[in-house]
Amino acid sequence: MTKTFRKLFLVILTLSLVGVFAAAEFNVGVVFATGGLGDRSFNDSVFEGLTRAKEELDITLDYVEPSSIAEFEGHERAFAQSGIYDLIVCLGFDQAESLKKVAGEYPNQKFVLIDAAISVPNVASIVFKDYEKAFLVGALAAQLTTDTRNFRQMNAQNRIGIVGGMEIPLIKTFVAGYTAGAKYVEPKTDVSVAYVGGWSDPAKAKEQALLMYQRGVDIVFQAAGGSGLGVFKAARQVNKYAIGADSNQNYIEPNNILFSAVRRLGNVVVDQINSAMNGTWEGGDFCYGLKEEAMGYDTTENSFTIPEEYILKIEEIRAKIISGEIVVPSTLEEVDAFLKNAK
Amino acid sequence: MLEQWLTSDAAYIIIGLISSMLRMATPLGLAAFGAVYSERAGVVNLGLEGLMLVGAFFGVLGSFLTGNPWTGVVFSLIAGGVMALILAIFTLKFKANHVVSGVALNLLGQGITAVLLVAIWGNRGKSPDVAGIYPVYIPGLSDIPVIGEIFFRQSPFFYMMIAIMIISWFVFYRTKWGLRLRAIGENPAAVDSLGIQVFVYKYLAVVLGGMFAGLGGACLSLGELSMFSRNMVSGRGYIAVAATILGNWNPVGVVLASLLFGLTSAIEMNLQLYGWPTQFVQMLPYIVTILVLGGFVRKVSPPKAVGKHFDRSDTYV
Repeated sequence: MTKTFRKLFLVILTLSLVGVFAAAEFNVGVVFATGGLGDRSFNDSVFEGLTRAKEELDITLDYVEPSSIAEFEGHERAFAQSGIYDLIVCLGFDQAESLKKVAGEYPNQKFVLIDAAISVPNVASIVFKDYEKAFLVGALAAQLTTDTRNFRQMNAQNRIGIVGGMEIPLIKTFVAGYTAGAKYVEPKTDVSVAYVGGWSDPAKAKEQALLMYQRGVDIVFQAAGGSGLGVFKAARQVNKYAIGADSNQNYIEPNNILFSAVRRLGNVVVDQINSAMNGTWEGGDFCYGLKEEAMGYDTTENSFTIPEEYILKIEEIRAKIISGEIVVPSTLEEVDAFLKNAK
Repeated sequence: MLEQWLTSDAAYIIIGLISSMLRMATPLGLAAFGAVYSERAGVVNLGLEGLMLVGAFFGVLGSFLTGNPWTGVVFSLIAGGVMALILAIFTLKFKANHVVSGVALNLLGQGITAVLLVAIWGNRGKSPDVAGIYPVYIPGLSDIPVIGEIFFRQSPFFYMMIAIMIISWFVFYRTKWGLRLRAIGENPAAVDSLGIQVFVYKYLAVVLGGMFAGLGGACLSLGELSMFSRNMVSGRGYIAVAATILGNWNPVGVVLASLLFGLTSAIEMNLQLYGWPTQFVQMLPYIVTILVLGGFVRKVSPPKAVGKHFDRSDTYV
């Protein structure tokens, strides 16, 4: 009942908008992922981009925050049905199935889907080369781990670690990029790898990170979602270092988190809006990486200053990845071959 | 000779392994007491996961509100007890199926903590950091080489587990109260015929068990992480159920079983770092559980009347 009512309300609202704005502006509709706004991660980073676009590009913005996967289809259809949106942005791989259906019903409607590739002509579906980001993270960590001068708790050993949530392809690409990046700048680097086996078990992740720190690892990169909070706890307990993931997590333990690997989803969404506005928009599957400025690292909101020399080195590597001089391996099997060629 | 060994890599690894085993085992052991008490009185308790989650949450809430983690422990005991009372009322008063009620308790625990997390702290993922309960170095004893390092620098929750184990064993096997409780789990009608208030014992045992499970949750949230994060119990409640069976519903047995589960995860975590295939090692605790549940390891003898409804009016027909 409330759902139908909501839909009806949305239709009336959008119809009235048509009357007022008479399609003079560019209208964007957004269906957020179930995590919702305020997650300081996925949804918020998109919202940041949309707010920027709203100020700079003169667009109107309507959005919904579904709380379950079952709601996606209804919201997508309601936006498409109204016919006034120039672009509808859908977030999260959970929307892939429903969007496939809705996009087929409205072939003239432009959609953007983040985090899944569905190969539909009127949907720009975007996935990310997370291994390129992990490469930079590994390269930076491998340099920092022997810097006993600027970082008091570092030891001189070339040991770094990564704690992944589960041993699935996505996380393995992280591990591959991280390992390759670390060994690219310092071949002696030893990378410890552990998988928690779940995304919400911080107690176990903490224990695994503690084991790494005991073995002389100074820096642990978390790629374990909610479990990753345990890695930060371990870092604080033994006063060692950690690296955040997805969004800027530095504020969680500002004295232990050196920096965070981030996805700049805001940039991606602004790009999409831009291209749709000036008529260069295209549907299909896209894979974004460093070149598209879709990802990077964030060193703000903590108590550290990363020395300039390392940043310069990383920026040099970033330039090489963008120019194609470095092709980052996305599987562990490719890492050895990559390192051999790099010499 | 000993001093030489103590500084070797092997000693380092073994000490690390054992301390890690104790840390992983403590929440399991505490939660397993929950099932022991409840099932000794004839009520199946599959709700440990939910009880632990609620205990973990309210432990953090108590510490957050008062700044004192021990108030948090009291909160977790109360929360576990109240949740278990729901199980007791449903199974004893309304004669609901014990297994279904336990599963419902788990779902309730998950839901209620997720909702309160947003309602109280406006965050879907985690609570803020609160004052936690940290390992205690027992004066004198903690200086003993190896033994001191392993056993006397542990979290207070570990000492609580050992204390509860000893007291429970004494109560179960050396007191009138314990004898009656165990008898109720075997044959409530016989106990009732002696004029003993069977239901009073049942309610008390289930609620007390819930308090221990809540304590197990607080051990995770206050003892390990000083915060609550969503679904942080992550299946430990189910492992605790398995530990109860492996430990043959005996307070000492369940602690030993929990230590075994703790050991398998400690070994798993260590092997991972040496590059062993993780799927295999992650499977270990679950294989042990299946073997135990299948009765391959030892003959399990659950209380005979566990899961059966007792009604006084049926007794004297």
